[in-house]
Amino acid sequence: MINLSEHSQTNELTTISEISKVSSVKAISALSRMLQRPVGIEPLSIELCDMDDLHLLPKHNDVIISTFIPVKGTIFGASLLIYPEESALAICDLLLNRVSGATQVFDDIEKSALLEIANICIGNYLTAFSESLQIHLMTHQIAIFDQGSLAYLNSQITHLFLNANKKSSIKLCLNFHLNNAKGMLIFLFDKKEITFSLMKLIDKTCMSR
Amino acid sequence: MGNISYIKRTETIDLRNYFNEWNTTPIIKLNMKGEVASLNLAVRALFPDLISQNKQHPLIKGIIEEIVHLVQYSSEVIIFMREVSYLNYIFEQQIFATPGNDSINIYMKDITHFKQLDLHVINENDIAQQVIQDQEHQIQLLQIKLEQLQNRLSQDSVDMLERIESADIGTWHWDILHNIITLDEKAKKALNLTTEKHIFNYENLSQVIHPEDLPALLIKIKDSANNGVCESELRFYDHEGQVFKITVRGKIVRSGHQPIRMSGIVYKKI
Repeated sequence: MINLSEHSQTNELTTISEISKVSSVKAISALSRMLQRPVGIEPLSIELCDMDDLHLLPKHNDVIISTFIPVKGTIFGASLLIYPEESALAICDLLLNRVSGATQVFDDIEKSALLEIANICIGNYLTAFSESLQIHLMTHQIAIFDQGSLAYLNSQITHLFLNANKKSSIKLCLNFHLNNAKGMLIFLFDKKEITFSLMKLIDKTCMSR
Repeated sequence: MGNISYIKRTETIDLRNYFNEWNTTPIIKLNMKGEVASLNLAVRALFPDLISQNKQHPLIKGIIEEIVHLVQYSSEVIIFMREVSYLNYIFEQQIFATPGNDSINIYMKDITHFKQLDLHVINENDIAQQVIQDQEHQIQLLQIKLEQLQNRLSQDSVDMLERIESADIGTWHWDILHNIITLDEKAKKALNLTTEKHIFNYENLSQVIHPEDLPALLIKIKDSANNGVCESELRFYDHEGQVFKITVRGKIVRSGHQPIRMSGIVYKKI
């Protein structure tokens, strides 16, 4: 016998994954245009997360560079661009037209450059994503740069969701590579709100037929 | 009822190729070696030399070299946006390489017009910046000039005050509406007034003016309402009843047609 709830959940994840693929292409195209470099993307991963047991990345002890932008609008969420330290430095070299290896520390200009990338990638992704779902999504005006342990970032995101009484989320993860750098684009959307938006869209589509 | 004829298709239609063929966007398809695999109608019409030049064509050259190093990663798709100049046109190429399918799709967009607009905006911006700089320079010059004039005015005021100081000239002010006459120390001295007060009125002062001079003074004050300036030589009585001569000069200030105040100087006639 088919477990209906499990079946519909799989369908839901597949639909969101397909919408996300299109949005990811928009985001990475914008990144490539900005850096004037080709960017390779790995297959998009999507999973349902219990916010009490969130793992942004499998290895928790790494020191990472992250830019975090809260997502507001119809769906509560969070968006992150995460890089290993050496990759973030390499991207700063590219953005600031420096020779490879010239950037050693993250001063104001380097932080600003990385936040600009986050704004462009996340903004493009959310525009395409919200257009597909016919909802309103926007990035919060606050963009946060962080250099530190992934475990700490993990706990911050967990608290953000739990404080807003969001118990579960859908996590979308996109790995990308460019030159000798790599990074990860992560989106977390509140499960209940995204399901509701999707149902509403299906209803609208059915009504229009 | 007419005859209906069916065309029997003998080959399978590749939908993607079919739509690419009729798409007005130039679409180039390469394999992962960088060789042309297929071109849609728009490309064939716009760039007929592309087939003959193949890998060496400026629209294709350099793509493989740029993306080849990313193939080593488990990239599903490699996305590359670049701008290429060709035959006085600028194209933006959206390149989607899928190593798993051994294919690279290049979608081209003519952005020459946008680039020209960009250049135009940059030029206009430069011109505007130049105008702003010129205006700022003009403002700076005017500010320097204003500062010089203020210094000169301030120096003139100091000079004038010094002259008044050294010339034993007193100043007075008559609020006509409230009939209040204010005299400074030197004016009081010129009029031989021993009182401590500085505030008087017309009636107070007319008592110490020689009665024969009063009618002429009144006429002059009345005239000054028209020509603005009043100058008169008057005889005054001091507290011991001695007569002395003074010169008084003043200018009337109006609000509309109404005289509201008069200010001037007074000094002893030697």
